[in-house]
Amino acid sequence: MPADDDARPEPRRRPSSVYGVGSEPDARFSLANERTALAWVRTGLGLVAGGVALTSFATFAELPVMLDVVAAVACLAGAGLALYSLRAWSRNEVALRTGLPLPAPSALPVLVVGVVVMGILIAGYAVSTIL
Amino acid sequence: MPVIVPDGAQPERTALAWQRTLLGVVLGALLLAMTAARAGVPAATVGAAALGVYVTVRMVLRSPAATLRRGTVGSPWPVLRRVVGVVVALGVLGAATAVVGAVRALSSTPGALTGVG
Repeated sequence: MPADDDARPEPRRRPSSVYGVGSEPDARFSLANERTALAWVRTGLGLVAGGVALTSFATFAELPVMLDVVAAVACLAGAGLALYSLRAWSRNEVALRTGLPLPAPSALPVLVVGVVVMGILIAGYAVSTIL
Repeated sequence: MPVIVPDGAQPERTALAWQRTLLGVVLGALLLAMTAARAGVPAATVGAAALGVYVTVRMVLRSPAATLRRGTVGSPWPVLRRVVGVVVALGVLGAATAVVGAVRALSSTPGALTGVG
């Protein structure tokens, strides 16, 4: 580590598993990575809010209990996406610092498949109540 | 050597992204607190309300984008980890509220699982 000529010492940035590797990337890329992580957190939060709204309807409109199960799964999936944002941010920041290609967003296909499956199930359930 | 953040829209966009996210967390906590209160799940009500208050207080006291104002790019990790912790806690409390609602509905009306018949 080069001798500090600065008047005030730089506090170590955490986590060291990220900032101890490679060199400082373009600040714009780091900020873009940060915004991406926040977007994943908001996606997870949206799933949690959707699950809470669904269980609210299911309980007070006395809809089938299966909707409560779907709501619980949505809430836990939202929590999982929020956790994924931390992992994705770390891996992306390390890739930016070492100049390697960015890892693929592994949660994206899972999210898309999950949303499509949920949509089909809900549509199927809605049709079955009409028939 | 400190990195100077370039002038331009990027730090502003990032600060706005933080605001959007934290606002969403507070609203989500409020929604869960209200839902759990109506559903009669006091643990989730108190937990969600406490999380909402905690995030609001931290937002007012110090914006996480403050790390950008020094002119160097700090690490978003500590604040990001805390925000993720709050979202995970809300997800767990929400799932618990749904499970409690399901158990109560099943124990009162046995045919309530799929609503058929």
